[in-house]
Amino acid sequence: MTGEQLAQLAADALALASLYAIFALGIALIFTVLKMINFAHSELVTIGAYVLILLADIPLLVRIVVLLALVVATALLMERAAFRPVRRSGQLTMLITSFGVSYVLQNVAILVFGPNVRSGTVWPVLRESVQLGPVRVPYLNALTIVLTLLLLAGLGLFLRLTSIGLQMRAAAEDFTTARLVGVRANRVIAVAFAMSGALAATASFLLTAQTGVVTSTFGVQVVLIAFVATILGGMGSLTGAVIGAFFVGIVTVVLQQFLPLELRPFRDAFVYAAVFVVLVVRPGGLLVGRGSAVRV
Amino acid sequence: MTMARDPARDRLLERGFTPLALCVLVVALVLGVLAVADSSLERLVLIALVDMIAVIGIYLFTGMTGTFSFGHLGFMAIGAYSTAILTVPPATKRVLFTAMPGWLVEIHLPFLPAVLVGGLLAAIAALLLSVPMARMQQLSAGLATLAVLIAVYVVVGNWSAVTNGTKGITAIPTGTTPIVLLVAVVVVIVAAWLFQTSALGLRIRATREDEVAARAVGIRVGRERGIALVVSALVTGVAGGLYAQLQGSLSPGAFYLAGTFLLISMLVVGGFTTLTGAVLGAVALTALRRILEFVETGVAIGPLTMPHLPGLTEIGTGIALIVVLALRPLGLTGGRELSWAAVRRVWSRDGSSTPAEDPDGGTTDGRPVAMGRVDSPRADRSLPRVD
Repeated sequence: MTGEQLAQLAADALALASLYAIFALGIALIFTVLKMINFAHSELVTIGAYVLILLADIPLLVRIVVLLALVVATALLMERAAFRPVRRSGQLTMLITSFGVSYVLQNVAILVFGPNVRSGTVWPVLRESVQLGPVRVPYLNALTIVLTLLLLAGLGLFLRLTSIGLQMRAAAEDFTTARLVGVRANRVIAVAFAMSGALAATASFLLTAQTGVVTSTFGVQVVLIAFVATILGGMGSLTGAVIGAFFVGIVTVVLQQFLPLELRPFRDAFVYAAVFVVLVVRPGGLLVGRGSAVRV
Repeated sequence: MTMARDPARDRLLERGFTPLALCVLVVALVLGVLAVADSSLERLVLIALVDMIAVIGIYLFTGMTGTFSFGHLGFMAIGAYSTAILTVPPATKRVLFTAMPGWLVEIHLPFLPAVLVGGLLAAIAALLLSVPMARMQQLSAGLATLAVLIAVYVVVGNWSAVTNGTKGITAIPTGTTPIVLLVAVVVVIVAAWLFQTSALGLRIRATREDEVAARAVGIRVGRERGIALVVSALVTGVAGGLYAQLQGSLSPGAFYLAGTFLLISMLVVGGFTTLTGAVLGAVALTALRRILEFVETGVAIGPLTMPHLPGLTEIGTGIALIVVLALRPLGLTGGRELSWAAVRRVWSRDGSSTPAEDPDGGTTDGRPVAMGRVDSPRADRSLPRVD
């Protein structure tokens, strides 16, 4: 393998890892605050994808505004209607509730938009690519990497510099104590859901720009990858989730490149096997998070 | 009606009552429905019996350890595909699978051994999986089972030489009759009860109630949960084998997210911590979905005509799940087995009391009990003692 091919591989891996990081952050953000795994994140991505594909005739900027508004509103509604009533009932109840919400919304999507694949163009320019020295980078990949960097930096600054960010970190540390010192639970949780909605909207934009199609189960793949990345990173840590996402993204690209042709259809099975191997060695994840230890 | 108390008789009844009552209920219900059923309803009943075995299989892990599993449809797929490949006659296999290894083409087993081999292969897969899972924290372990589901789905969908890929397998000899399935359900209910009330079963359930305390009294949590996973995969794999025999054809999509959702809903709606919940959940959701399927096709109720609503069944199932979780997190059974003590209590109050109002059950302060922090369900106190 030449240096040029290696550089190309690294560029591809970086783009996929960045995309996965956006997936994983949406799940990890809710988990750190609420200790809840949100299956229904996938439907936020799906709704966003339907907005982008079905409103293809509307100017892109307007579409993005509609996208953000609708997805964030759905995230807030979901929290209020389904998750708040079971918030006190423990992690498992919340997990299964989100599974139920996800399934209901998937089937509502079939009812409203039909069972067939819908297609449309989101932003054709993104499909072209630019030659950077030996490496060919599709604009979409460049945008993915830039957006991920911006979102990571923005999220980091938000959590450290703003009051609500500080409250979120306090809630992630110990929700009961945080409430005792005046953190308002409903507000913090709503902000976390709004932010995960924005991340889901970003994910649906980047995905539909690439594929140009949407089905009712469009977002499922997103949350599956996000779950695996979040566990791998060590649950309860945003940094861990990003590291986990990078691991999964890089392993996927490398396997795609080096697996023998006849084994390539099994790529995802190998990816998940690799994840299991890592978990055998480090059961708490790559970066053992705060939420992972049992406190007595 | 007040019954005279006889401690010895009560103990015997307490031990054997739950499986006996569940078996009698299921058998009576199935025979009753089959007596009046047309062929489509008969098919529904048979599918419900297979679902019930699979739900009991999932219960044996999820219900007893408190770890949710999204991967059990993977075990079911292993059982189903193994059984299918073992029972399709070699002559048919030569036509259907052109690339299958020769030894696999020649193997041909009768119905029952094939189903058992399918269950065993699923159990072996679970054994391998239990090693990493034993070391993981509960929630991570539950999510990691999703990886199993996907891995099995990818393999089954792409390993064309053996599974025929996305085209699936057809022409599987159908060997299941209502009697075979009823016997299977009865055997599984009794076996599950013996397992959960054994010393090992009590240790496994102790890890659900309080993992830290269980560790403190010397229970090897990871190992015991691993055993539960293997037993549970065996039962789920057998359910898969029966499914293959019932349907006569298989495709990878039958063992993925929709199936996972359905079986988990059955378990949770019934009550995921009890065998009674697993059995009744399968019955309740099958009935609910039958009604919704009827409405879905568009019916006229008096002057009102419902439009055709595709997906209504699935939406209704999901809403039922969400509502049960919000109002009754431990399911319809409320975390209690159908026990002799409960029946006697209800009788002695002239049937005026429902289990939900029972002061002995649930939490002391009347709040619903949280999942994963189950406060000693009534049923556990009526179990035989370990000593």
